[in-house]
Amino acid sequence: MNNNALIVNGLTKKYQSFVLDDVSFTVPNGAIVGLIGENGAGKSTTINAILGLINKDAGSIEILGKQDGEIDNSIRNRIGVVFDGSNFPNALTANKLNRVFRNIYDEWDEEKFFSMLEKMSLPTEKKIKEFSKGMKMKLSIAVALSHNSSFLVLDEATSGLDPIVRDDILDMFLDFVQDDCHSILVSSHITSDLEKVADYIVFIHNGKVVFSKPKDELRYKYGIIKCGAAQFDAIDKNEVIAYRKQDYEWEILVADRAAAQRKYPKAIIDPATIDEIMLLYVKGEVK
Amino acid sequence: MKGLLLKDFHLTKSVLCINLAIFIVIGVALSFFTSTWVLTVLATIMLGTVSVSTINMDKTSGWYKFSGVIPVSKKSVVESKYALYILLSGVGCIFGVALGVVTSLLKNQLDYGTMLMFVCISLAISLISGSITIPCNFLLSDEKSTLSVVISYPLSAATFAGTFLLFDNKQVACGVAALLGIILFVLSWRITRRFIAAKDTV
Repeated sequence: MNNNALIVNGLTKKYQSFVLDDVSFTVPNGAIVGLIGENGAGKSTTINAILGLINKDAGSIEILGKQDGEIDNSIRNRIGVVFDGSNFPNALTANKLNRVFRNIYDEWDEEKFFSMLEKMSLPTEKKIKEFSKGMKMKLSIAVALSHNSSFLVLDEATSGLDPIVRDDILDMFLDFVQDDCHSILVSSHITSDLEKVADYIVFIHNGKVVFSKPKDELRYKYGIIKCGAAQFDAIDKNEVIAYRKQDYEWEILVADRAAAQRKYPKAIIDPATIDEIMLLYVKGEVK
Repeated sequence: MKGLLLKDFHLTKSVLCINLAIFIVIGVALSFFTSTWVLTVLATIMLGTVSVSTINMDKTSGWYKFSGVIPVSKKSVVESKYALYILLSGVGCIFGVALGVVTSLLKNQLDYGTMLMFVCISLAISLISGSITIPCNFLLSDEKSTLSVVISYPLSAATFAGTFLLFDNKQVACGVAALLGIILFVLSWRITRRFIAAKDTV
């Protein structure tokens, strides 16, 4: 048994207008890994391939110690999945859903399911079609956490939700990974959510992994130099990851903020947010 | 598969009740103008159609995608729809026969030979159309799959008419049509199961 809940290696999927190209990353046990990228970058394709919803063209995927060919129902029992939007038939109620899942999951925990519904103030006899988007999302998370799952995969689970509901959901994620055997892979384009909870960030752009790094490295080591044209010319371009010309200044992304500050003591170097890093990679010039 | 069937039962429960109520009202009224055994054909087709409608319900609600990540194989998802179709068509057939017997007794026209012939007709039309509509609903978009429902019934009726042209004996023709229906349904079941398992879910 290795220390990773998920190992993705060289994952490739070719469509006519899009290619997911040689994607590799890992989700360590006990960690939350955030998959970021703009719309259409390949986040959902990656998740769909991991979950076996699409057939990959190349690469290997190992989930909970099993290679993709060996991912059977015993493994699926341990994976909780939440997709963006609706996951369940609108005509059902939470109560009926409980009866359905009791006959699907081997370790369906009815008691836990209803206690979570109560905690989330979700009605048991109301039809899902009458639920708000936030309620539907909470219900999906309650289902994902009620069958003794040890690995959660969430595709844009917090998009379209208000900050209060998002915060509640993020707290649930943090509770879940208190157990060292539990892990989460969460894709989102709301990077502020991932800044709160993720341990690692995997950035996908145009179907390729741009970087896969610990979040703290990005937060505490990366920096953005904001300077004029003269100062930009003076900066050693070997230290630059990406740069972008704004109206009145240049923004330069560097991997070692402290080193850059020592080398250019007069420069203003701010810590970089994940949003800013993403923007510079996508809209700037990458070295 | 039990969980999948239970989900479909919850989904179709209200529709089934409405359909049965409509069937009783229309069926009884119709039986005064035509053979009482027509009810068997009507009931079998009506309930079978309900099961096919759950495929598109699953797609629009997001359940079809979700069913790809639960501990149930893709083959089981397909099988559950075929099983539901057989189950509901069977219930419809039994219900139709029961109502046919009652109305025949009321009209004092009970004839088991005709009854058997209409059961065969019901089976033939229901199974031939099911073998077309189920895979079409899995593989095609909502609009195109609706078209498959419209086409499948005339097609199964044409197949049925064809057997009547081939065989002079009506009962033999009905039996052959029913057998053809069973063969097509089993073939459709096996091919769709294999095809869906190999196809991307999203």
